[in-house]
Amino acid sequence: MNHLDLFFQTMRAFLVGQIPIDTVESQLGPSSSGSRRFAFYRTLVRNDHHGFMEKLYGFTQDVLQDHFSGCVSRYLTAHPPDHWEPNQTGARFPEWLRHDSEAILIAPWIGDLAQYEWFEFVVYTDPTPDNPVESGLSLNSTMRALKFEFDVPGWITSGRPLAEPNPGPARRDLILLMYRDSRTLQCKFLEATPWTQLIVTSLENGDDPLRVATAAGADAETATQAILELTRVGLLHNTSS
Amino acid sequence: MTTKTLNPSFVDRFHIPFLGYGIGLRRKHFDAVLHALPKEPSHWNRDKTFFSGNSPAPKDNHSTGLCDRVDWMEIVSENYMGFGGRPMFVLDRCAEHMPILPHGVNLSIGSPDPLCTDYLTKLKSLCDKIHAPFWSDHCCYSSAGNVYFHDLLPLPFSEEAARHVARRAKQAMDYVERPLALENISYYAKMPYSSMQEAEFLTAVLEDADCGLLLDINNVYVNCQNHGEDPNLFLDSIPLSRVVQVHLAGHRDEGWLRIDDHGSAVSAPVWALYAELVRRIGPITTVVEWDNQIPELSVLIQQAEIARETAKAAHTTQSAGEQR
Repeated sequence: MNHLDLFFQTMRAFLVGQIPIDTVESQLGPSSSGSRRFAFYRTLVRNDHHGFMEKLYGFTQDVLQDHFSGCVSRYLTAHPPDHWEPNQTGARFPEWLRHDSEAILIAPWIGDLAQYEWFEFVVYTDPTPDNPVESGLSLNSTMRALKFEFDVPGWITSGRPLAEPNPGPARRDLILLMYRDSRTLQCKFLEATPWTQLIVTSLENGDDPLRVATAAGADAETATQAILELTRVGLLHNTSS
Repeated sequence: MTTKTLNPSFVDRFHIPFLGYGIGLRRKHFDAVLHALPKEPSHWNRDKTFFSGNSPAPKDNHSTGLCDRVDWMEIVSENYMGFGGRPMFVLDRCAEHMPILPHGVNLSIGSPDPLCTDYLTKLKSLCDKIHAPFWSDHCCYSSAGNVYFHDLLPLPFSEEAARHVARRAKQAMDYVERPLALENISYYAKMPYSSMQEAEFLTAVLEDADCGLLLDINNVYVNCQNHGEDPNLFLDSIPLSRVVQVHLAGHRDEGWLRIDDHGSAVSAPVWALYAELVRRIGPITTVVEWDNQIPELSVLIQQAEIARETAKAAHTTQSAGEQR
């Protein structure tokens, strides 16, 4: 193994916290700048990784408080950052949290909360164009349909994350439609009703939502009003004249 | 009167423009930037105004309009690669009014891993979109063994590492189809296996790869303070003809170490070193970086204006000296 290969192999292990600086120095030799400065790089990398997670998961951090840092460390050990886009560091955190016994003990709904925060970022930065290209009725292309087991969206909008003492969101199965409003470019969400789901699914399948809704038993007036409302809030685009 | 030609070889061969004095576009300033941009697209012509090498127009320090006080903006490439929504909306508006240069942090040019084609594809797309005349990243590694450290980590200053970086820099430039400027990073510890000085290492990389140099003056100062070296000797030892852009930023003194944290105004010794550089090579495309404890937009604009005044004064001194 040449010097450069050995250097990277050893530094990788050190920078992710697998070996201490003493081991690095015994394998590569000391830095002429001294051990303290050499070891500082582990602190910098750790701070960078934790910093990205704190920016992405502010509410989750508020809930886990002093436990958040430990959770992030365990998560990063399980999933070392493997993408050039720094925010991708946190992509698997919601799913990981659902299985982390320490986090679940503090807040059984913590995975749902992290999922909300992650997709708020994903939708906000979604690369698909905001202007619909098709003519007629179309679905906002930034929309994500997400399953929740707790009413995290309601809890967040009612300001509960800041409440003391904090009861946490109520247990309730729901499907949330998160999307970016093409007029404000802000992330919005809407709890899916059966009719909303029917309209969304019909558009995803390339069907006429009005025809599908009426075939499912809705009267034309009710279905039309539902479509108009979804258009008003920006989940649907209507470019027909 | 003789006028010193700016970086004749590199600038001429790659048609590198002088863009003037700029600031970094940061998310915190999106609202303020949109508010300060003219309502109608500007009439700056990227083919005729800046990119022919002409100097930007004189600025009005009393104006509240962004374009009257700042010549161009630098973006962190990764914040716009593969992203849409508001960040891209703001970038598009800015690009209607002034030149934009992409500055990356995760090319990881020194990494042992293969260059990431997904990264380079998205970077090229961004460069095309904003008509970037060149792109920049850091002479360092930020990933190894499929782990991204998301920090700018120093390489051993060795011939082996220099050849490794230069080979990859050529590949990256071929892919992006634009000249690359590599930045000198701040380093707190000299890595094992180093057999050269930093300036010698940088020079070897730049000459072998035929790259431009994004010279971070704050990093020069911080490194020289941390390692007991002379910043003027450092400037003597690097190929100044390859400097295509300058970074200025603040740092903090922790006693045992100066940290390049981009969290404060540019310090007086860094302004002095910047003036010394301009005396040597003339006015150079300059940006002020501020990434932590980010102040109001007006503070950042003031820093860019100090850069303009400092460069103007230094260049006048240099020209007068040459006349004598």
